[in-house]
Amino acid sequence: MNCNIVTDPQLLILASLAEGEKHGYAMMEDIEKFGGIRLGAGTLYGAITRLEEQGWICRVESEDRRKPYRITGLGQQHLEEQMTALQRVVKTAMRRLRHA
Amino acid sequence: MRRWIAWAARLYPRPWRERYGEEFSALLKDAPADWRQLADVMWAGLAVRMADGTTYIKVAGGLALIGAIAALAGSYAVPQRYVSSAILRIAPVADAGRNVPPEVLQREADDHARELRSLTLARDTLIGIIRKPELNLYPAEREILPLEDVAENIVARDVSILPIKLPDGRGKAFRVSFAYPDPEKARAVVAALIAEAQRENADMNRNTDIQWRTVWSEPVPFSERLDVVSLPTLPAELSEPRRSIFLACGAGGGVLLGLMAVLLWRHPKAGLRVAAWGLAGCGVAGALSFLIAERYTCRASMRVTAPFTPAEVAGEVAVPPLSGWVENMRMEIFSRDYFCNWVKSAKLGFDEATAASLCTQPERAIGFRMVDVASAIAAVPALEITASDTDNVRAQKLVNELVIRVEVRDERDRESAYWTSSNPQIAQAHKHGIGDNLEILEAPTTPEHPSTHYRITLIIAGAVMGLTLGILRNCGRTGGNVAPALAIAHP
Repeated sequence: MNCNIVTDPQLLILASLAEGEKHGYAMMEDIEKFGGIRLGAGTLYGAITRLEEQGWICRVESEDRRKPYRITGLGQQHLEEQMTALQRVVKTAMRRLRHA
Repeated sequence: MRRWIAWAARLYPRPWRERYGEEFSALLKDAPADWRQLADVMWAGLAVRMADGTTYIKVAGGLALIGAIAALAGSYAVPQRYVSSAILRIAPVADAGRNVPPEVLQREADDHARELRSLTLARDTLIGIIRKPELNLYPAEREILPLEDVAENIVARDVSILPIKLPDGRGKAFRVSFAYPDPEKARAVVAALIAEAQRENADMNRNTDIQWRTVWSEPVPFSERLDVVSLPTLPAELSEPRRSIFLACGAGGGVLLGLMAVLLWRHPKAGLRVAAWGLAGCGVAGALSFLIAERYTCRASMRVTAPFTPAEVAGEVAVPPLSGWVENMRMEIFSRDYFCNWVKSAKLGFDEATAASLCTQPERAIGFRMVDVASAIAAVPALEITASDTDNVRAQKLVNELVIRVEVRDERDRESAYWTSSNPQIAQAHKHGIGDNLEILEAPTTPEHPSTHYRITLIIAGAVMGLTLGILRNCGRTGGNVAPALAIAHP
Protein backbone atom coordinates (compact mmCIF):
# COMPACT_ATOMS: atom_id res chain seq x y z
CA MET A 1 0.00 0.00 0.00
CA ASN A 2 1.40 3.40 -0.97
CA CYS A 3 1.29 5.70 2.08
CA ASN A 4 2.79 8.79 0.40
CA ILE A 5 0.56 11.82 0.33
CA VAL A 6 2.63 13.46 -2.41
CA THR A 7 2.65 11.38 -5.57
CA ASP A 8 2.77 14.12 -8.20
CA PRO A 9 6.05 13.52 -10.10
CA GLN A 10 6.41 17.25 -10.89
CA LEU A 11 6.25 18.21 -7.22
CA LEU A 12 8.68 15.44 -6.27
CA ILE A 13 11.18 16.61 -8.91
CA LEU A 14 10.91 20.22 -7.75
CA ALA A 15 11.48 19.07 -4.15
CA SER A 16 14.52 17.08 -5.24
CA LEU A 17 16.01 19.98 -7.23
CA ALA A 18 15.41 22.40 -4.35
CA GLU A 19 18.54 20.88 -2.81
CA GLY A 20 20.67 21.59 -5.87
CA GLU A 21 21.09 20.62 -9.52
CA LYS A 22 20.78 16.93 -10.40
CA HIS A 23 20.62 14.71 -13.49
CA GLY A 24 17.81 12.23 -14.16
CA TYR A 25 19.20 9.19 -12.39
CA ALA A 26 20.24 11.24 -9.34
CA MET A 27 16.70 12.64 -9.12
CA MET A 28 15.28 9.12 -9.37
CA GLU A 29 17.50 7.92 -6.48
CA ASP A 30 16.83 11.02 -4.37
CA ILE A 31 13.07 10.82 -4.79
CA GLU A 32 13.11 7.16 -3.81
CA LYS A 33 15.13 8.06 -0.72
CA PHE A 34 13.01 10.96 0.56
CA GLY A 35 9.64 10.16 -0.99
CA GLY A 36 9.61 6.37 -0.98
CA ILE A 37 8.54 6.33 -4.63
CA ARG A 38 10.55 4.83 -7.47
CA LEU A 39 9.64 6.90 -10.57
CA GLY A 40 9.94 5.12 -13.90
CA ALA A 41 12.25 6.66 -16.50
CA GLY A 42 9.28 7.53 -18.75
CA THR A 43 7.32 9.15 -15.92
CA LEU A 44 10.39 11.10 -14.78
CA TYR A 45 11.16 12.51 -18.21
CA GLY A 46 7.48 13.20 -18.93
CA ALA A 47 7.43 15.38 -15.82
CA ILE A 48 10.80 16.99 -16.66
CA THR A 49 9.43 17.90 -20.12
CA ARG A 50 6.33 19.58 -18.61
CA LEU A 51 8.36 21.36 -15.88
CA GLU A 52 10.76 22.74 -18.46
CA GLU A 53 7.86 23.89 -20.69
CA GLN A 54 6.38 25.75 -17.72
CA GLY A 55 9.74 27.33 -16.93
CA TRP A 56 9.94 25.82 -13.44
CA ILE A 57 13.24 24.03 -14.13
CA CYS A 58 16.01 24.51 -16.68
CA ARG A 59 18.80 22.40 -18.07
CA VAL A 60 22.38 23.11 -17.06
CA GLU A 61 24.84 22.86 -19.98
CA SER A 62 27.23 19.98 -19.51
CA GLU A 63 29.71 17.94 -21.56
CA ASP A 64 28.39 14.77 -19.95
CA ARG A 65 25.60 12.77 -21.63
CA ARG A 66 23.69 12.99 -18.33
CA LYS A 67 22.36 16.55 -18.30
CA PRO A 68 21.73 18.12 -14.91
CA TYR A 69 18.68 20.31 -14.19
CA ARG A 70 18.20 23.11 -11.71
CA ILE A 71 15.07 24.74 -10.27
CA THR A 72 14.28 28.29 -11.48
CA GLY A 73 12.90 31.18 -9.46
CA LEU A 74 9.41 30.48 -10.81
CA GLY A 75 9.82 26.84 -9.86
CA GLN A 76 10.84 27.75 -6.33
CA GLN A 77 7.83 30.03 -5.98
CA HIS A 78 5.49 27.31 -7.22
CA LEU A 79 7.02 24.75 -4.87
CA GLU A 80 6.67 27.11 -1.93
CA GLU A 81 2.99 27.71 -2.74
CA GLN A 82 2.34 24.00 -2.97
CA MET A 83 4.18 23.26 0.26
CA THR A 84 2.31 26.02 2.13
CA ALA A 85 -0.98 24.56 0.99
CA LEU A 86 0.16 21.10 1.98
CA GLN A 87 1.34 22.37 5.34
CA ARG A 88 -2.06 23.90 5.97
CA VAL A 89 -3.72 20.57 5.27
CA VAL A 90 -1.24 18.74 7.53
CA LYS A 91 -1.65 21.24 10.38
CA THR A 92 -5.43 21.10 10.22
CA ALA A 93 -5.43 17.33 10.14
CA MET A 94 -3.04 17.12 13.12
CA ARG A 95 -5.09 19.59 15.14
CA ARG A 96 -8.26 17.71 14.47
CA LEU A 97 -6.61 14.41 15.34
CA ARG A 98 -5.46 15.82 18.71
CA HIS A 99 -9.01 16.93 19.53
CA ALA A 100 -10.61 13.74 18.35
CA MET B 1 15.17 -6.34 -21.53
CA ARG B 2 17.38 -3.27 -22.06
CA ARG B 3 17.08 -3.79 -25.80
CA TRP B 4 13.29 -3.80 -25.53
CA ILE B 5 13.33 -0.66 -23.42
CA ALA B 6 15.68 1.04 -25.91
CA TRP B 7 13.23 0.06 -28.70
CA ALA B 8 10.28 1.46 -26.66
CA ALA B 9 12.18 4.75 -26.30
CA ARG B 10 11.83 5.14 -30.06
CA LEU B 11 8.08 5.61 -29.55
CA TYR B 12 8.82 9.20 -28.51
CA PRO B 13 8.36 11.74 -31.31
CA ARG B 14 11.50 12.88 -33.16
CA PRO B 15 11.56 16.48 -31.80
CA TRP B 16 11.41 15.09 -28.25
CA ARG B 17 14.20 12.59 -28.98
CA GLU B 18 16.35 15.36 -30.45
CA ARG B 19 15.90 17.38 -27.24
CA TYR B 20 16.09 14.67 -24.57
CA GLY B 21 17.22 11.53 -26.43
CA GLU B 22 20.88 11.46 -25.31
CA GLU B 23 20.24 12.05 -21.61
CA PHE B 24 17.23 9.69 -21.65
CA SER B 25 19.41 6.88 -23.08
CA ALA B 26 21.99 7.57 -20.37
CA LEU B 27 19.26 7.32 -17.72
CA LEU B 28 17.97 4.06 -19.18
CA LYS B 29 21.48 2.62 -18.95
CA ASP B 30 21.72 3.55 -15.25
CA ALA B 31 18.14 2.70 -14.21
CA PRO B 32 17.08 -0.91 -13.49
CA ALA B 33 15.69 -2.72 -16.53
CA ASP B 34 12.49 -4.67 -15.81
CA TRP B 35 8.93 -5.05 -17.14
CA ARG B 36 7.74 -2.10 -15.07
CA GLN B 37 10.36 0.12 -16.67
CA LEU B 38 9.41 -1.10 -20.16
CA ALA B 39 5.68 -0.40 -19.56
CA ASP B 40 6.50 3.01 -18.07
CA VAL B 41 8.63 4.06 -21.05
CA MET B 42 6.03 2.84 -23.56
CA TRP B 43 3.14 4.59 -21.77
CA ALA B 44 5.07 7.84 -21.37
CA GLY B 45 6.19 7.74 -25.03
CA LEU B 46 2.59 7.33 -26.12
CA ALA B 47 1.51 10.19 -23.83
CA VAL B 48 4.12 12.54 -25.34
CA ARG B 49 2.98 11.57 -28.82
CA MET B 50 -0.66 12.23 -27.92
CA ALA B 51 0.25 15.69 -26.63
CA ASP B 52 1.78 16.58 -29.99
CA GLY B 53 -0.06 19.20 -32.08
CA THR B 54 -0.34 16.93 -35.08
CA THR B 55 -1.54 13.95 -33.04
CA TYR B 56 -5.09 14.12 -34.42
CA ILE B 57 -3.85 13.77 -37.98
CA LYS B 58 -1.27 11.12 -37.16
CA VAL B 59 -3.49 8.90 -35.00
CA ALA B 60 -6.48 9.27 -37.32
CA GLY B 61 -4.27 8.55 -40.34
CA GLY B 62 -2.62 5.56 -38.66
CA LEU B 63 -5.91 4.05 -37.54
CA ALA B 64 -7.43 4.74 -40.97
CA LEU B 65 -4.59 2.73 -42.53
CA ILE B 66 -4.99 -0.08 -39.99
CA GLY B 67 -8.78 -0.02 -40.49
CA ALA B 68 -8.44 -0.14 -44.27
CA ILE B 69 -6.01 -3.08 -44.10
CA ALA B 70 -8.23 -4.94 -41.60
CA ALA B 71 -11.33 -4.32 -43.73
CA LEU B 72 -9.54 -5.49 -46.86
CA ALA B 73 -8.43 -8.65 -45.05
CA GLY B 74 -12.01 -9.09 -43.77
CA SER B 75 -13.39 -8.76 -47.29
CA TYR B 76 -11.64 -12.01 -48.18
CA ALA B 77 -13.79 -13.79 -45.58
CA VAL B 78 -16.93 -12.70 -47.48
CA PRO B 79 -17.96 -15.23 -50.14
CA GLN B 80 -16.85 -14.10 -53.60
CA ARG B 81 -19.64 -13.97 -56.13
CA TYR B 82 -20.09 -13.26 -59.80
CA VAL B 83 -23.32 -11.75 -61.09
CA SER B 84 -24.73 -12.72 -64.46
CA SER B 85 -27.70 -10.81 -65.81
CA ALA B 86 -30.02 -10.64 -68.77
CA ILE B 87 -32.73 -8.21 -69.83
CA LEU B 88 -36.28 -9.30 -70.68
CA ARG B 89 -39.17 -7.30 -72.01
CA ILE B 90 -42.89 -7.96 -71.78
CA ALA B 91 -44.87 -6.16 -74.42
CA PRO B 92 -48.60 -6.54 -75.01
CA VAL B 93 -49.54 -7.31 -78.59
CA ALA B 94 -53.11 -6.44 -79.59
CA ASP B 95 -54.83 -8.48 -82.30
CA ALA B 96 -54.99 -6.75 -85.64
CA GLY B 97 -58.29 -5.01 -86.10
CA ARG B 98 -59.07 -4.76 -82.37
CA ASN B 99 -58.59 -1.41 -80.86
CA VAL B 100 -57.59 -2.02 -77.22
CA PRO B 101 -57.23 1.13 -75.05
CA PRO B 102 -53.60 1.66 -73.92
CA GLU B 103 -54.61 1.82 -70.22
CA VAL B 104 -56.20 -1.61 -70.51
CA LEU B 105 -53.04 -2.97 -72.16
CA GLN B 106 -50.92 -1.35 -69.45
CA ARG B 107 -53.00 -2.80 -66.63
CA GLU B 108 -52.88 -6.24 -68.19
CA ALA B 109 -49.10 -6.01 -68.77
CA ASP B 110 -48.51 -5.04 -65.11
CA ASP B 111 -50.61 -7.93 -63.86
CA HIS B 112 -49.00 -10.32 -66.30
CA ALA B 113 -45.47 -9.26 -65.28
CA ARG B 114 -46.23 -9.69 -61.59
CA GLU B 115 -47.73 -13.12 -62.13
CA LEU B 116 -44.86 -14.16 -64.40
CA ARG B 117 -42.30 -13.17 -61.78
CA SER B 118 -43.94 -15.22 -59.05
CA LEU B 119 -44.23 -18.23 -61.38
CA THR B 120 -40.61 -17.95 -62.53
CA LEU B 121 -39.34 -17.74 -58.96
CA ALA B 122 -41.70 -20.41 -57.66
CA ARG B 123 -40.08 -22.74 -55.17
CA ASP B 124 -40.49 -25.85 -57.37
CA THR B 125 -38.90 -24.08 -60.34
CA LEU B 126 -35.87 -23.08 -58.29
CA ILE B 127 -35.54 -26.52 -56.72
CA GLY B 128 -35.53 -27.98 -60.25
CA ILE B 129 -32.70 -25.61 -61.26
CA ILE B 130 -30.70 -26.31 -58.07
CA ARG B 131 -30.91 -30.05 -58.64
CA LYS B 132 -29.87 -30.02 -62.28
CA PRO B 133 -26.92 -32.46 -62.38
CA GLU B 134 -24.87 -30.19 -64.65
CA LEU B 135 -25.30 -27.28 -62.19
CA ASN B 136 -25.40 -29.00 -58.77
CA LEU B 137 -25.81 -25.66 -56.97
CA TYR B 138 -25.18 -24.96 -53.27
CA PRO B 139 -23.78 -28.40 -52.35
CA ALA B 140 -22.66 -27.29 -48.87
CA GLU B 141 -25.94 -25.53 -48.06
CA ARG B 142 -27.96 -28.52 -49.24
CA GLU B 143 -26.17 -30.74 -46.75
CA ILE B 144 -27.53 -28.79 -43.80
CA LEU B 145 -30.78 -27.31 -45.10
CA PRO B 146 -33.87 -28.76 -46.80
CA LEU B 147 -34.15 -27.85 -50.49
CA GLU B 148 -37.19 -25.67 -49.78
CA ASP B 149 -35.12 -23.46 -47.46
CA VAL B 150 -32.27 -23.28 -49.97
CA ALA B 151 -34.76 -22.09 -52.60
CA GLU B 152 -36.10 -19.44 -50.23
CA ASN B 153 -32.57 -18.26 -49.52
CA ILE B 154 -31.94 -17.90 -53.26
CA VAL B 155 -34.94 -15.60 -53.67
CA ALA B 156 -33.93 -13.51 -50.66
CA ARG B 157 -30.22 -13.34 -51.42
CA ASP B 158 -29.02 -14.36 -54.86
CA VAL B 159 -31.64 -13.76 -57.50
CA SER B 160 -33.19 -10.46 -58.45
CA ILE B 161 -35.73 -9.40 -61.04
CA LEU B 162 -35.85 -5.63 -61.15
CA PRO B 163 -37.67 -3.27 -63.52
CA ILE B 164 -35.53 -1.10 -65.78
CA LYS B 165 -36.23 1.48 -68.44
CA LEU B 166 -35.06 0.76 -71.97
CA PRO B 167 -34.09 3.64 -74.28
CA ASP B 168 -36.97 2.91 -76.69
CA GLY B 169 -39.44 2.87 -73.75
CA ARG B 170 -41.48 0.02 -75.24
CA GLY B 171 -43.14 -2.53 -72.96
CA LYS B 172 -42.04 -3.43 -69.45
CA ALA B 173 -38.40 -4.36 -69.22
CA PHE B 174 -36.66 -5.98 -66.31
CA ARG B 175 -33.23 -7.29 -65.48
CA VAL B 176 -32.86 -10.86 -64.27
CA SER B 177 -29.67 -11.33 -62.22
CA PHE B 178 -28.15 -14.19 -60.35
CA ALA B 179 -25.08 -14.14 -58.09
CA TYR B 180 -22.95 -17.26 -57.56
CA PRO B 181 -19.28 -18.05 -56.83
CA ASP B 182 -18.92 -19.76 -60.26
CA PRO B 183 -19.43 -17.34 -63.19
CA GLU B 184 -20.37 -20.12 -65.66
CA LYS B 185 -23.03 -21.46 -63.32
CA ALA B 186 -24.33 -17.95 -62.66
CA ARG B 187 -24.89 -17.53 -66.38
CA ALA B 188 -26.45 -20.99 -66.72
CA VAL B 189 -28.96 -20.20 -63.94
CA VAL B 190 -30.01 -16.94 -65.62
CA ALA B 191 -30.48 -18.84 -68.89
CA ALA B 192 -32.60 -21.45 -67.06
CA LEU B 193 -34.72 -18.71 -65.45
CA ILE B 194 -35.30 -17.09 -68.84
CA ALA B 195 -36.33 -20.43 -70.35
CA GLU B 196 -38.75 -20.93 -67.45
CA ALA B 197 -40.18 -17.41 -67.88
CA GLN B 198 -40.76 -18.03 -71.59
CA ARG B 199 -42.49 -21.34 -70.90
CA GLU B 200 -44.70 -19.78 -68.22
CA ASN B 201 -45.49 -16.84 -70.50
CA ALA B 202 -46.66 -19.18 -73.26
CA ASP B 203 -48.80 -21.10 -70.74
CA MET B 204 -50.34 -17.90 -69.37
CA ASN B 205 -51.23 -16.63 -72.85
CA ARG B 206 -52.77 -19.99 -73.72
CA ASN B 207 -54.80 -20.15 -70.49
CA THR B 208 -56.10 -16.59 -70.91
CA ASP B 209 -57.18 -17.43 -74.44
CA ILE B 210 -58.98 -20.57 -73.25
CA GLN B 211 -60.72 -18.54 -70.53
CA TRP B 212 -61.86 -15.84 -72.95
CA ARG B 213 -63.18 -18.40 -75.39
CA THR B 214 -65.10 -20.12 -72.57
CA VAL B 215 -66.56 -16.98 -71.02
CA TRP B 216 -66.95 -14.61 -73.94
CA SER B 217 -66.96 -17.08 -76.84
CA GLU B 218 -64.25 -15.13 -78.61
CA PRO B 219 -60.44 -15.24 -78.74
CA VAL B 220 -58.51 -13.05 -76.35
CA PRO B 221 -57.85 -9.72 -78.11
CA PHE B 222 -54.20 -9.47 -77.08
CA SER B 223 -51.31 -11.51 -75.79
CA GLU B 224 -48.08 -10.75 -73.96
CA ARG B 225 -44.84 -11.17 -75.85
CA LEU B 226 -41.72 -11.95 -73.86
CA ASP B 227 -38.51 -10.92 -75.61
CA VAL B 228 -34.94 -11.46 -74.49
CA VAL B 229 -33.37 -8.03 -75.01
CA SER B 230 -29.91 -9.10 -73.89
CA LEU B 231 -28.63 -12.62 -73.33
CA PRO B 232 -27.18 -13.73 -69.98
CA THR B 233 -23.70 -12.31 -69.54
CA LEU B 234 -20.63 -14.28 -68.49
CA PRO B 235 -19.22 -12.13 -65.68
CA ALA B 236 -15.47 -11.60 -65.95
CA GLU B 237 -15.01 -9.64 -62.73
CA LEU B 238 -16.07 -10.32 -59.17
CA SER B 239 -19.22 -8.44 -58.19
CA GLU B 240 -19.00 -9.18 -54.49
CA PRO B 241 -17.42 -8.31 -52.21
CA ARG B 242 -16.87 -4.73 -53.35
CA ARG B 243 -13.41 -4.25 -51.95
CA SER B 244 -13.45 -0.50 -52.54
CA ILE B 245 -16.47 -0.20 -50.19
CA PHE B 246 -14.72 -2.36 -47.59
CA LEU B 247 -11.60 -0.18 -47.86
CA ALA B 248 -13.58 3.05 -47.55
CA CYS B 249 -15.56 1.78 -44.54
CA GLY B 250 -12.41 0.54 -42.80
CA ALA B 251 -10.54 3.80 -43.39
CA GLY B 252 -13.55 5.94 -42.36
CA GLY B 253 -14.07 3.93 -39.19
CA GLY B 254 -10.36 4.23 -38.39
CA VAL B 255 -10.42 8.02 -38.79
CA LEU B 256 -13.42 8.36 -36.46
CA LEU B 257 -11.92 6.00 -33.91
CA GLY B 258 -8.62 7.88 -34.02
CA LEU B 259 -10.24 11.28 -33.49
CA MET B 260 -12.34 9.98 -30.60
CA ALA B 261 -9.35 8.28 -28.99
CA VAL B 262 -7.26 11.48 -29.06
CA LEU B 263 -10.18 13.53 -27.73
CA LEU B 264 -10.70 11.20 -24.79
CA TRP B 265 -6.98 10.94 -24.16
CA ARG B 266 -6.41 14.67 -24.06
CA HIS B 267 -9.49 15.76 -22.18
CA PRO B 268 -10.78 12.74 -20.29
CA LYS B 269 -12.44 14.80 -17.56
CA ALA B 270 -14.29 17.09 -19.96
CA GLY B 271 -15.22 14.09 -22.13
CA LEU B 272 -16.52 12.13 -19.14
CA ARG B 273 -18.47 15.13 -17.84
CA VAL B 274 -20.19 15.61 -21.20
CA ALA B 275 -20.86 11.85 -21.44
CA ALA B 276 -22.36 11.90 -17.92
CA TRP B 277 -24.75 14.69 -18.94
CA GLY B 278 -25.69 12.69 -22.04
CA LEU B 279 -26.38 9.60 -19.91
CA ALA B 280 -28.42 11.64 -17.47
CA GLY B 281 -30.48 12.99 -20.38
CA CYS B 282 -31.03 9.40 -21.60
CA GLY B 283 -32.17 8.33 -18.15
CA VAL B 284 -34.63 11.18 -17.63
CA ALA B 285 -36.09 10.79 -21.15
CA GLY B 286 -36.29 7.01 -20.71
CA ALA B 287 -38.20 7.45 -17.44
CA LEU B 288 -40.54 10.00 -19.05
CA SER B 289 -41.16 7.73 -22.04
CA PHE B 290 -42.84 5.18 -19.78
CA LEU B 291 -45.58 7.71 -19.13
CA ILE B 292 -46.54 7.66 -22.83
CA ALA B 293 -48.34 4.56 -24.08
CA GLU B 294 -46.82 3.04 -27.21
CA ARG B 295 -49.13 2.11 -30.04
CA TYR B 296 -49.08 -0.95 -32.27
CA THR B 297 -50.23 -0.83 -35.86
CA CYS B 298 -51.62 -3.87 -37.63
CA ARG B 299 -51.87 -3.79 -41.40
CA ALA B 300 -53.52 -5.83 -44.13
CA SER B 301 -53.65 -5.20 -47.84
CA MET B 302 -56.02 -6.59 -50.44
CA ARG B 303 -55.45 -6.41 -54.14
CA VAL B 304 -58.43 -4.91 -55.89
CA THR B 305 -59.27 -5.45 -59.54
CA ALA B 306 -62.44 -4.77 -61.42
CA PRO B 307 -63.96 -7.45 -63.70
CA PHE B 308 -62.29 -7.42 -67.09
CA THR B 309 -64.77 -7.52 -69.96
CA PRO B 310 -64.67 -7.38 -73.76
CA ALA B 311 -66.58 -4.09 -73.57
CA GLU B 312 -63.70 -2.55 -71.65
CA VAL B 313 -61.18 -4.03 -74.06
CA ALA B 314 -63.10 -2.53 -76.93
CA GLY B 315 -63.15 0.81 -75.15
CA GLU B 316 -66.96 0.79 -75.03
CA VAL B 317 -67.09 0.85 -71.26
CA ALA B 318 -64.62 2.78 -69.16
CA VAL B 319 -62.72 0.81 -66.56
CA PRO B 320 -64.53 1.71 -63.32
CA PRO B 321 -62.34 3.73 -60.97
CA LEU B 322 -61.33 1.67 -57.97
CA SER B 323 -61.48 4.71 -55.71
CA GLY B 324 -65.27 4.67 -56.08
CA TRP B 325 -65.41 1.06 -55.01
CA VAL B 326 -63.32 1.82 -51.92
CA GLU B 327 -65.47 4.79 -51.00
CA ASN B 328 -68.65 2.70 -51.23
CA MET B 329 -67.05 -0.01 -49.14
CA ARG B 330 -65.96 2.50 -46.50
CA MET B 331 -69.49 3.89 -46.25
CA GLU B 332 -70.89 0.39 -45.82
CA ILE B 333 -68.35 -0.71 -43.21
CA PHE B 334 -68.33 2.42 -41.10
CA SER B 335 -72.09 2.95 -41.17
CA ARG B 336 -72.75 4.17 -37.67
CA ASP B 337 -74.94 1.41 -36.22
CA TYR B 338 -72.97 -1.58 -37.29
CA PHE B 339 -69.54 -0.14 -36.53
CA CYS B 340 -70.53 1.33 -33.17
CA ASN B 341 -72.14 -1.89 -32.00
CA TRP B 342 -69.05 -3.74 -32.97
CA VAL B 343 -66.47 -1.48 -31.25
CA LYS B 344 -68.65 -1.39 -28.14
CA SER B 345 -68.90 -5.20 -28.00
CA ALA B 346 -67.20 -6.85 -25.05
CA LYS B 347 -64.85 -8.96 -27.18
CA LEU B 348 -62.79 -5.93 -28.18
CA GLY B 349 -62.53 -4.74 -24.59
CA PHE B 350 -62.49 -0.98 -25.30
CA ASP B 351 -63.48 1.27 -22.43
CA GLU B 352 -66.61 3.33 -22.96
CA ALA B 353 -64.87 6.62 -23.78
CA THR B 354 -62.50 5.04 -26.34
CA ALA B 355 -65.37 3.15 -28.00
CA ALA B 356 -67.44 6.36 -28.21
CA SER B 357 -64.48 8.23 -29.70
CA LEU B 358 -63.95 5.48 -32.28
CA CYS B 359 -67.65 5.55 -33.18
CA THR B 360 -67.60 9.20 -34.07
CA GLN B 361 -64.08 9.38 -35.51
CA PRO B 362 -62.96 5.96 -36.70
CA GLU B 363 -60.18 7.53 -38.78
CA ARG B 364 -58.33 8.34 -35.53
CA ALA B 365 -57.38 4.68 -35.16
CA ILE B 366 -58.39 3.00 -38.41
CA GLY B 367 -57.01 3.56 -41.89
CA PHE B 368 -59.02 2.45 -44.96
CA ARG B 369 -57.55 3.61 -48.23
CA MET B 370 -56.27 2.72 -51.68
CA VAL B 371 -52.50 2.41 -51.97
CA ASP B 372 -50.07 1.17 -54.57
CA VAL B 373 -48.37 -1.85 -53.06
CA ALA B 374 -44.94 -1.96 -54.65
CA SER B 375 -43.87 -5.32 -55.95
CA ALA B 376 -40.64 -6.13 -57.72
CA ILE B 377 -42.21 -5.67 -61.13
CA ALA B 378 -45.18 -3.36 -60.89
CA ALA B 379 -47.13 -1.35 -58.36
CA VAL B 380 -50.40 -3.10 -57.59
CA PRO B 381 -53.46 -1.06 -56.56
CA ALA B 382 -54.60 -2.38 -53.21
CA LEU B 383 -56.94 -1.60 -50.35
CA GLU B 384 -54.91 -1.07 -47.21
CA ILE B 385 -56.60 -1.47 -43.83
CA THR B 386 -54.68 -0.42 -40.73
CA ALA B 387 -55.58 -0.21 -37.06
CA SER B 388 -53.54 1.41 -34.36
CA ASP B 389 -53.99 0.62 -30.68
CA THR B 390 -52.07 0.38 -27.43
CA ASP B 391 -52.90 -3.35 -27.37
CA ASN B 392 -51.28 -5.27 -30.23
CA VAL B 393 -53.78 -8.14 -30.14
CA ARG B 394 -56.72 -5.72 -30.25
CA ALA B 395 -55.14 -3.92 -33.22
CA GLN B 396 -55.00 -7.25 -35.04
CA LYS B 397 -58.59 -8.09 -34.05
CA LEU B 398 -59.76 -4.78 -35.51
CA VAL B 399 -58.04 -5.34 -38.86
CA ASN B 400 -59.06 -8.98 -39.02
CA GLU B 401 -62.70 -8.13 -38.48
CA LEU B 402 -62.56 -5.35 -41.10
CA VAL B 403 -60.97 -7.69 -43.66
CA ILE B 404 -63.73 -10.25 -43.06
CA ARG B 405 -66.37 -7.52 -43.36
CA VAL B 406 -64.92 -6.30 -46.65
CA GLU B 407 -64.80 -9.82 -48.05
CA VAL B 408 -68.38 -10.59 -46.98
CA ARG B 409 -69.63 -7.29 -48.36
CA ASP B 410 -67.78 -7.81 -51.64
CA GLU B 411 -69.19 -11.31 -52.02
CA ARG B 412 -72.71 -9.95 -51.50
CA ASP B 413 -72.12 -7.18 -54.03
CA ARG B 414 -70.91 -9.62 -56.62
CA GLU B 415 -73.89 -11.92 -56.08
CA SER B 416 -76.16 -8.94 -56.32
CA ALA B 417 -74.42 -7.79 -59.50
CA TYR B 418 -74.90 -11.24 -61.01
CA TRP B 419 -78.64 -11.06 -60.50
CA THR B 420 -79.23 -7.41 -61.08
CA SER B 421 -76.47 -6.05 -63.30
CA SER B 422 -77.71 -4.27 -66.35
CA ASN B 423 -74.38 -5.11 -67.97
CA PRO B 424 -74.72 -8.71 -69.17
CA GLN B 425 -70.95 -9.04 -69.47
CA ILE B 426 -70.51 -8.33 -65.74
CA ALA B 427 -73.10 -10.96 -64.93
CA GLN B 428 -71.36 -13.36 -67.29
CA ALA B 429 -67.99 -12.71 -65.65
CA HIS B 430 -69.41 -13.40 -62.19
CA LYS B 431 -71.13 -16.52 -63.40
CA HIS B 432 -67.78 -17.95 -64.48
CA GLY B 433 -66.08 -16.78 -61.31
CA ILE B 434 -63.68 -14.45 -63.06
CA GLY B 435 -63.16 -10.86 -62.19
CA ASP B 436 -62.94 -11.69 -58.50
CA ASN B 437 -61.85 -8.37 -57.22
CA LEU B 438 -60.21 -9.18 -53.90
CA GLU B 439 -57.03 -11.01 -53.13
CA ILE B 440 -55.30 -10.72 -49.78
CA LEU B 441 -51.71 -9.61 -50.41
CA GLU B 442 -50.78 -9.11 -46.77
CA ALA B 443 -52.75 -10.85 -44.05
CA PRO B 444 -53.20 -9.13 -40.67
CA THR B 445 -50.69 -10.44 -38.14
CA THR B 446 -50.18 -9.47 -34.52
CA PRO B 447 -47.64 -6.64 -34.52
CA GLU B 448 -44.71 -7.52 -32.26
CA HIS B 449 -43.13 -4.09 -32.10
CA PRO B 450 -44.75 -0.72 -31.49
CA SER B 451 -45.18 1.39 -34.61
CA THR B 452 -44.59 4.63 -32.75
CA HIS B 453 -41.12 4.55 -31.31
CA TYR B 454 -41.75 7.24 -28.70
CA ARG B 455 -39.38 5.57 -26.32
CA ILE B 456 -36.38 5.42 -28.65
CA THR B 457 -37.07 8.90 -30.06
CA LEU B 458 -37.37 10.35 -26.58
CA ILE B 459 -34.22 8.64 -25.36
CA ILE B 460 -32.22 9.88 -28.36
CA ALA B 461 -33.62 13.39 -27.88
CA GLY B 462 -32.76 13.17 -24.18
CA ALA B 463 -29.20 12.12 -24.97
CA VAL B 464 -28.78 15.00 -27.43
CA MET B 465 -30.21 17.47 -24.90
CA GLY B 466 -27.99 16.09 -22.17
CA LEU B 467 -24.87 16.31 -24.35
CA THR B 468 -25.74 19.88 -25.37
CA LEU B 469 -26.28 20.89 -21.73
CA GLY B 470 -23.02 19.16 -20.79
CA ILE B 471 -21.12 21.14 -23.43
CA LEU B 472 -22.81 24.40 -22.39
CA ARG B 473 -22.00 23.73 -18.73
CA ASN B 474 -18.38 23.07 -19.68
CA CYS B 475 -18.44 26.40 -21.53
CA GLY B 476 -19.54 28.02 -18.28
CA ARG B 477 -16.69 26.39 -16.37
CA THR B 478 -14.17 27.56 -18.94
CA GLY B 479 -15.46 31.14 -18.97
CA GLY B 480 -17.23 30.88 -22.28
CA ASN B 481 -14.25 29.46 -24.09
CA VAL B 482 -15.83 26.96 -26.42
CA ALA B 483 -12.70 25.05 -27.46
CA PRO B 484 -12.00 23.39 -24.12
CA ALA B 485 -15.73 22.91 -23.55
CA LEU B 486 -15.91 20.86 -26.70
CA ALA B 487 -12.65 19.21 -25.70
CA ILE B 488 -10.97 20.56 -28.82
CA ALA B 489 -7.32 19.84 -28.45
CA HIS B 490 -4.68 22.46 -28.82
CA PRO B 491 -1.01 21.81 -29.52
